[in-house]
Amino acid sequence: MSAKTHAELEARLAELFDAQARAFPDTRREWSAVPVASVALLDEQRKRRRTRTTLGALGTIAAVAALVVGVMNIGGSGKRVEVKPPVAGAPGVPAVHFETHQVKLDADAFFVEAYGKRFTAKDTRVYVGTDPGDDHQTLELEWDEHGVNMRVYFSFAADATDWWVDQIRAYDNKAENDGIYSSGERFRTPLGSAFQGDVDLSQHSVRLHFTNLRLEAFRRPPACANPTSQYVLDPSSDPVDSSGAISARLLNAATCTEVANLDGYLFEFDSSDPTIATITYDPINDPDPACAAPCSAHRIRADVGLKAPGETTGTVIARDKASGAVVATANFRVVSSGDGS
Amino acid sequence: MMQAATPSDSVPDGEEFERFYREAWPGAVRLAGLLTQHAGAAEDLAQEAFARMYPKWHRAEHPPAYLRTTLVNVCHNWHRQKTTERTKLPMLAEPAATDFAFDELADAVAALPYRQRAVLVLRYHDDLSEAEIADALGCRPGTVKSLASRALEQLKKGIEQ
Repeated sequence: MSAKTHAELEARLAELFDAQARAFPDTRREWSAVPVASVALLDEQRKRRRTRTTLGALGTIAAVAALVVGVMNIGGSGKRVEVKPPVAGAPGVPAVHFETHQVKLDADAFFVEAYGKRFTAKDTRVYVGTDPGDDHQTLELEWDEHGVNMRVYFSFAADATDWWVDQIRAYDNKAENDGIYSSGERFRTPLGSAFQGDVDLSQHSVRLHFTNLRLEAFRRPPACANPTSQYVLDPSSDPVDSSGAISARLLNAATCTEVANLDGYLFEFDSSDPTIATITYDPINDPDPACAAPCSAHRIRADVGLKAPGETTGTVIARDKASGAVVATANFRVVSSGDGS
Repeated sequence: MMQAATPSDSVPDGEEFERFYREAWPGAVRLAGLLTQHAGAAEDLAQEAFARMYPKWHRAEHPPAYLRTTLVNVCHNWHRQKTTERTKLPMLAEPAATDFAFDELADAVAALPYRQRAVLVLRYHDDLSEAEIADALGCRPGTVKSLASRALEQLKKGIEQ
């Protein structure tokens, strides 16, 4: 195979999609409102078309089925993300508190001002997520307020000693509206400690404000807090939702640093309820091209198949390859919407 | 990439939608074909997306993005429901575009889970940003990154076998 590098693979993908797109004739078609009058009419129109040609017959049947299923799915579709309402109000309690496995944010006050309205994320459900990268992480907040789907997004980077924010975004879920898109290093802080201060950013008539922000990324894994064995396993997220995959790191418990050579270990993943979600060990045996050296040549990873709505517990186990003895184990939650893709 | 006119107050909704439909149709068919890797279903799915969009036209503040999101959802539903054998998307009959490695890559792309393939198509064909892809897929930007990373790893595995 010729796509040896990441960049080459990306170039070949663009080339492939371009060639496939050009295979479609540049057809023109006039709109007729009749087919959208009802599902029955649409079905009838397609039946007539099916009598004229057999070429697209299978696709037509599938498309009609897709319409019916799509209508049925409108009421049942939901966000496949964990919901964590902010803690607020009582004296001594932060006005907002958002926490993931890797990132923690507290502030005495928080708001976004945009379109003449103030968005506070209070008394609403806030979706909190993190992309757990080796040298980049995110904190992603999303909520609905004043009829707007508002998003605040932090991107973090780190080196051997510090972490910092390298991008802040505050925007609504509409492509045509401006928001805050601020790149550049901010809040450089030693690993293991939190940045603290007031933050006020304005751009494109949008204002993002935190009073007494306490923000920490690249947090020390909870697994290292009270270790009971020489090694601990650190799953990349808790819970797992729509990402389709879970990874884990094997850490030396004393130093909380990653075990560099995983050749001497075997790994297993399991789901307590495979009818809700399956978890299948699927390691990656190449270094992550985006990770900063030194990178492990092996990554502990599993595919997650969301089968039915509900929540189940996943388990990852590390064994000594020679003896078969368990050297570390960890559990993580899987929140499933039932969407198998 | 889909590009088309946006609504204006001076043109009646019907005419405006018809103009949008004419301009956006070819791109919608191509995107449906790439998302599903199924040439035969592309026109039907594109039509389906426009049909869903039509009654909500006045609420679509950014029609190309609205159409893209609708198309991604329609194709996803089709992908979930299809029971027929996938017909491989035709390649251009150009010798340079039909070498063996290219076909291997096409096979590997066709074998990807839908959301992984959608991320690649929207990124490498439609040149969308991470945030725009997240909007189209209804997920978070971090999930887009995760899906893309996973998809590229899968492709590498697939074409090396």
